[in-house]
Order: sequence, then C-alpha cells, then structure tokens
Amino acid sequence: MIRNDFDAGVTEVSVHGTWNAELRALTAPNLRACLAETPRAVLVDLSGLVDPAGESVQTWRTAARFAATRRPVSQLVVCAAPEPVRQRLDGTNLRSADSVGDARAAAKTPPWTNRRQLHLPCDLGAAALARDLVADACHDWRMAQMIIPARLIVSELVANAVEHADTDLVAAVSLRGPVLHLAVRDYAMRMPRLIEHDPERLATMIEQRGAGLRLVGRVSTGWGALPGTVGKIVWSTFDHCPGDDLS
Amino acid sequence: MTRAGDRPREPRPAAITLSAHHQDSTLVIDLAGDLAADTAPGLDLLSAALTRATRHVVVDTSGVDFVDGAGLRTLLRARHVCAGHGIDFVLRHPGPHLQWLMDITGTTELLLLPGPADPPADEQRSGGPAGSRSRPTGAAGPHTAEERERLLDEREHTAADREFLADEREKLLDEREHRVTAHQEWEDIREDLANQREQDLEQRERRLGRDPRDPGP
Repeated sequence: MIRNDFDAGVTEVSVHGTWNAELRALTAPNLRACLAETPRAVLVDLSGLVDPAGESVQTWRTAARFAATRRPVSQLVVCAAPEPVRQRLDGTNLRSADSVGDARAAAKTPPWTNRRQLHLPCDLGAAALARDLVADACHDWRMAQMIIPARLIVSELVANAVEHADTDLVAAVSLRGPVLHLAVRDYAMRMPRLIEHDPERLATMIEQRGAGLRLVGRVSTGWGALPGTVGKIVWSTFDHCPGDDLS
Repeated sequence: MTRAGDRPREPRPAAITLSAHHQDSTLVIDLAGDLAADTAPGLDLLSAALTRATRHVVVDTSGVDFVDGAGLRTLLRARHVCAGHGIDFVLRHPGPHLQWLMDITGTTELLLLPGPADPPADEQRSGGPAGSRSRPTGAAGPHTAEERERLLDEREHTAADREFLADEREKLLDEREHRVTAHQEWEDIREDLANQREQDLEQRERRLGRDPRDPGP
C-alpha cells in the first residue's frame, strides 16, 4: 500500500503480512519506484508486518543505501518495526521511528522553500495556467533554460489529467537539489495499485494515455505515477544542471 | 500549506488565431497563440482556405507561443493531408520551443523542408509571386497532366506512409528499450538482495558454529 503526500513530498509505504520471498519481491521494486520520484522521505510502515526472524532487514538496508545514492538524497525511515526487526536494526545507521505519525511530523520540517502549486479546474484552459505557473517559477528561480521543457512537460501532464481523470487538479513545481520536479495530482482513484511494479502494465498505461505521456517520458529524466492520500499523482523529474553535483 | 501561488486563478482563455491568404498557388497561414491540447484538436488548418489551385502551403509560426504534442500532431496531420493532394507543406519561423520540440521528436526535416518534388518555397517567394509555372516537374516523359499528378500523389502517399511506419517503429523500439532497462534494474536489485540474504544466512550459520564453506571434522 503506497500513499504519496503531495504537499509534503513524502511517500508512505505500508507493508502488510508475513515476510516471505513473495512479499520481498513485491516490496523491493515498489520502494525503488517510490524513491525514483525524489521524495524527501519514504516512510516504511511495518506495523502490519509479521517477521519473527527479522529477515526483512536486508531489504530495508538495501533500499536505504539506494536512497542515499539518489540525487537529491532521499531518507528512508523504518516505522513501527516489529521487535525482531528492531533488534537487528540496532547498530545499523538505518533511520527508524516508533510510529508513522512521528516520522511524518519529522519529515515535514523544514517546509519546502522552492515549491509552488496551483489548483486548477478540470477544463481545457487548465494546461495554459499550469504552463504559466511553471514558466514563472523557472524564471523566478533563475532557471530560464528550463522553461521550454518544463512548460511542455506540465502541459502534457495536465492535458492528460483533464482528459482522463475528469476531476479538479493541482499542479506543482518544486526544486529538489539538482532536479526540477513537476507533478499533477487529480482526485481520481482509477489506477492499478502497484502501477510501477509491472513493466507490461506500465506500457499498457502509456498506450491508453496516449502519446502525451510518451513525450513526457522522452523528455524527462524520470516519470511515473503514485497513489496519493486522495487520488493519484503523476510526476516527472528533469535534471536542470546535468553533470553538476549539488549534493 | 498556503503559498501565494496556492489560490485558484481565473481560467485564462486558451487562444489560437489563424489567418490565411493566397499568393497565387501558395497558401500562407499565419498562426498565433498556443497550439496545444486545449486548442489544437478542433483546429483545421487547411479546409477553409485550400483551393484546387493551391500547390504550396506555408505555415508561419512566428506568432506561436507554445506547441505541445497535440499541436505538433495537428501540424503533421495538415502536412499529411497536403501530401495526399500533392501539395508541399512547410513551416516557417518556428520559435526556439517549437524548434526544440521538432528536434526531440525527429520531425524537423518533415516540417521544415518542402517536398522533394518541388523547388524550395523560399525561392518562389523571393522570386515574386509564384505562378502556375511552378507545377511539379519531377516526372518526365510523355505523361498527361492527370497521370503526372496521379504519380506524384502516389509517391507522396508512399513517402508519408513510410514516415508514419518509421515513426511507429521508433516509438516501439523506444518503449522496448525502456522496458528492458527497467527490467534490468529490477534484476540488479533482486540479485543484490539475494546476495545480501546469502551473506546474512552464512553469518548466522557461522554464529551457530556451522560454517557451510568449512564443514568441521
């Protein structure tokens, strides 16, 4: 179960059930898909996990290592781990929290400084408003070279949402280290739950959603879709200073 | 969180304006505004102005502020329609955003170069109004005008079809490559996980005094 908190830039992943090979095979790629979105943090809620031998620790450590190599760096926080897991986490440098609530509160501060968002009606003019939002932001953040690709990406994302979601929208642009992050959130739940997991299904989604997202895929460094606290988020990232490591 | 940009704005009227005029056999279409998903699908660039005498279409995009994928498709569709009628189609004065979009989609040549059967539109424009003398003369020999036109039509058709097929194939290849890369990434992480797990098991077994690689006496 994945939920992206659009405003905070934090994604929560709840892992339920008994830890076995199947659950591991399901969890690892989903953690990667969440981290690909360049969130501030991924909070892994283990309150529903049964893992008497603490075998899942390697998966959390691998994901945390992957998170640390990302630009920008994401945090991985293991929350409400069952006792055997907690014991084996001692002595590692993996971040943990007693509950998701605690971790959530900690992850939201400090607030974003370079983030703007705009509520949009579900009509054909929405894309033009989103383009203006992004162009203004790029201009104000002194990234004029980003205006051309960023306008195209946000325009395609909004046009797709207007066409397929048929709900109000929110478009957001944020600066995350070396990455410009563009996202559109709608209130439609219609999305396979583990959409990033299955490459076949992802390809089908691109087909269904038409050439707009294919264009986004070609232009972006990365893009994808995540379930939100309500509805879903379709996101795209774009390196605004390729080769320049700002970490 | 409340920010200055958080309030809903008044919807901006999405606008594209089109004006067309003929210079003899050349139809010049001036576009201005945004050519995008909100304006492009209902826009028929040609039907209002195309006549039987039209041999060339020039679309001037110097007034266009933005083009997205749907806008580009509208332009390509118009080009395709023109090709079907043996009319050459060329884009003039694309802004940097449109130039970039054509570059990344590989459509620059399609839209900026006139058809091979005709002299470049610029030559005709600089040489004053182009008359009916500028009919395509690619097919030599004792053909009638109708036959020649039909042949040219066919050739344009095949060329356009080939372009479409090439385009589709490229898209498919792109997608497959994408999928293969993603798959490889998953495989890597899975392997990583398996390795970790193996090491872990070995450690645990060693802790229990039974090192699998060194069976005791």
